[in-house]
Amino acid sequence: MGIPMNELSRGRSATVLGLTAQGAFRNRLLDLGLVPGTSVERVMTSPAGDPVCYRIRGAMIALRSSDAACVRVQD
Amino acid sequence: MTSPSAANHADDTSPARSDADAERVFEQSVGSGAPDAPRRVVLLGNPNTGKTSLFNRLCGVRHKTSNFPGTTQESRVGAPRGLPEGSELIDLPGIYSLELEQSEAEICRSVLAGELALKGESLAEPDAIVVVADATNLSRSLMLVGEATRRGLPMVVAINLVDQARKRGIHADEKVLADRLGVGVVVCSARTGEGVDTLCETLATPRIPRESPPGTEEGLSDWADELYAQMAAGTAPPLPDTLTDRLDRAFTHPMLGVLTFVSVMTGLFWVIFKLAAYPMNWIDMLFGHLGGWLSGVLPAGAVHDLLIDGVLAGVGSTLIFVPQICILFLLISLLEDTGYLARAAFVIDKVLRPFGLSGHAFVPFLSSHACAIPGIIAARGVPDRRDRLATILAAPFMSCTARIPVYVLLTGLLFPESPGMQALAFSGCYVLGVFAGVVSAMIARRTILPGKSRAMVMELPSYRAPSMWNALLTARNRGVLFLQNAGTAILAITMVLWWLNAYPIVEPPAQAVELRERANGHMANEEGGEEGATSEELLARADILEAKHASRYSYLGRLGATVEPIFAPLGYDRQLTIGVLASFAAREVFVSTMAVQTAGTDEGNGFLKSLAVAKRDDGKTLIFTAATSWSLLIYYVLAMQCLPTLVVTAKEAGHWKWAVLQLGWMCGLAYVFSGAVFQVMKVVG
Repeated sequence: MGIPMNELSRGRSATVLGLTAQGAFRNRLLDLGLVPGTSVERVMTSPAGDPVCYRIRGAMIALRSSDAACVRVQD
Repeated sequence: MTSPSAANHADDTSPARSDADAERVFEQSVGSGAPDAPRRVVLLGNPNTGKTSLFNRLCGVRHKTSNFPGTTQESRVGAPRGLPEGSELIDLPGIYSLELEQSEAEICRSVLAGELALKGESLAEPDAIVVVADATNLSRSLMLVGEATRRGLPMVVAINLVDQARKRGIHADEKVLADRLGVGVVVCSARTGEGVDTLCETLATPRIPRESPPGTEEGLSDWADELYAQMAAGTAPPLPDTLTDRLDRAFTHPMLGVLTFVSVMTGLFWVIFKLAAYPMNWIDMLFGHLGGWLSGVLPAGAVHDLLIDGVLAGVGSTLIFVPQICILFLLISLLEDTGYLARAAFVIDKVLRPFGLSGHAFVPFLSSHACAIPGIIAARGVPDRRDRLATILAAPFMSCTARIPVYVLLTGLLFPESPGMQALAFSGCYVLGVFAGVVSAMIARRTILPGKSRAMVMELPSYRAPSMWNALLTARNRGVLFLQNAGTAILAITMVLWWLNAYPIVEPPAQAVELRERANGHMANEEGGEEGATSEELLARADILEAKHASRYSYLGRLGATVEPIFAPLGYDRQLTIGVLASFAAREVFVSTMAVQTAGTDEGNGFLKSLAVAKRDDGKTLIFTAATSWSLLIYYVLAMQCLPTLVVTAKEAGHWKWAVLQLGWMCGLAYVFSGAVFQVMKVVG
């Protein structure tokens, strides 16, 4: 259920459902505050189409699409 | 502190009381009730919280930079205001969490546990932690505060960037945090200086927090959320940062964003390329004058030569790198402060990704076009270790300014009648360099540095006005560090190369002796000899002959003759081999070395013309045939010929093996491609 965060369309907000990443990368995402229930918004996209910048807990965080795909969100 | 005389006076009048005082002080320092002012304080915080600016505010220039043993992670330790003499403040690397399995977090954990200290410092648990929180992003900063409380060390929380937060209408009550944790909480702005004095006072009385969050990741997040809600209760919701949003819309716009990127980077390059030329010229001139002055003072001889041509020239050729390094880091610091540098990496990331590099590699590569040394140092901005090593390995492929004289010479020899073709070949060299660099990085990332990069999590901080003071401090630090780390090695190498080139002193050739005698004869009877040569001309010819002779029979010249067979498949004769070897001091030396060796073969037709007709030792074959010139051009694009760069690579990559690899790979590649070009052109004609 839900969609990967990289499929969120521009300007849309969603709520984090969970992470599919493991290990160190999972911890890194958790430390950005990507825990279930956190609201994320897709803010802007690099001119090349990737990475994409999300607003997470008030901070602007750029993630590559392949990395953002590890975050499941409820649109 | 009481003055010594006052203390002595007290001792004289009531020794008993002073003993009692001493006991009480002793009890205080061992008891946990009211600890003494801390001696060792660490600064902990998320990246982009202005931690470094705060460090600068607290310590100013009273600090030094050094490494953690066994790592390339460097950190600064300074003497903070507000604490007694001998206290130190350590600026830890910026981290998102203490629990991450990345090197920065590991370093922070070890320092907090007293298991790691900067080089030259003793191992000890810190006496206090200052957690630097970001007022504009408090809910995330509180997670790190929560992690810090679990350490059970006395602490102070500094909520930085409060000026930014206020502008955006973000208000939070720091007293709530202070009451909950029972530690000092100071609201401050390193940029404006607000609250810094209060922070200095609070530093003296850190306290052990009375509360810490539950152990799980979710528990920590909930704890931070709940705490933030409590702090922000009763205040209006924050305004969105409209300036940042508007600028970001422009800077990441498909067209405008790319245009901005290109303009900013062109500007950056132009400034290091052009502006640094002035101080570099001054250094050159200063050392030229110093040499001239010393030359007049010292008697001729070995000491004279050593001091002027060896030491003084060596110091000059080390200092010459400093302007570019300082200017580059001044600009990088300013750009980073504004928040644009992160956007630039965001814009260019995808372009560099196929080569196994991240967007952070762009500035190092760009700077390397001025000089690889500041470029390699700038690779510190690349967060992933493997990405950083690949960037360092590839950086010297970029055509630096030292190659320009060689490119000009060779393209001039190849296309004497066609400036258009010269320009084309010239640009081709730059393209070849970039291409070889990124492909080499890709190969490195697939072979010796395998594995996925650490996921790129790049924070795009809000746009801020940059601080010139911070930028100047950064520039100064980089210059000083370069001289400390690499300066002595570069100086030593320059001197050894000078010595190889200048020694042994040989007897002048018979022809030169004869010319000198004739010149002396001229002076005696002013008749004017054959060919109408004046005594000055004869002396000049004697000088040239002597220089050629000395160059041929110096250690370097003999080495050139010995290794000539190695370079023969590339089409280089003895003289070119000497030129290539001499380039190890700096590539542009090739031009002057060739000038010395081939001078006098065809006088009066200009330097380029005389090179074009210069002959090999056999007296028949041209040195610079088309095939040889192409082979040389390729060689100078690809080969690693700069020993100072190798010194910096070794320092920045953390081990000499990387410098050896860089040397072997670049020279190997150059050898193969130049050889192939020469052999093919020889066959084709």
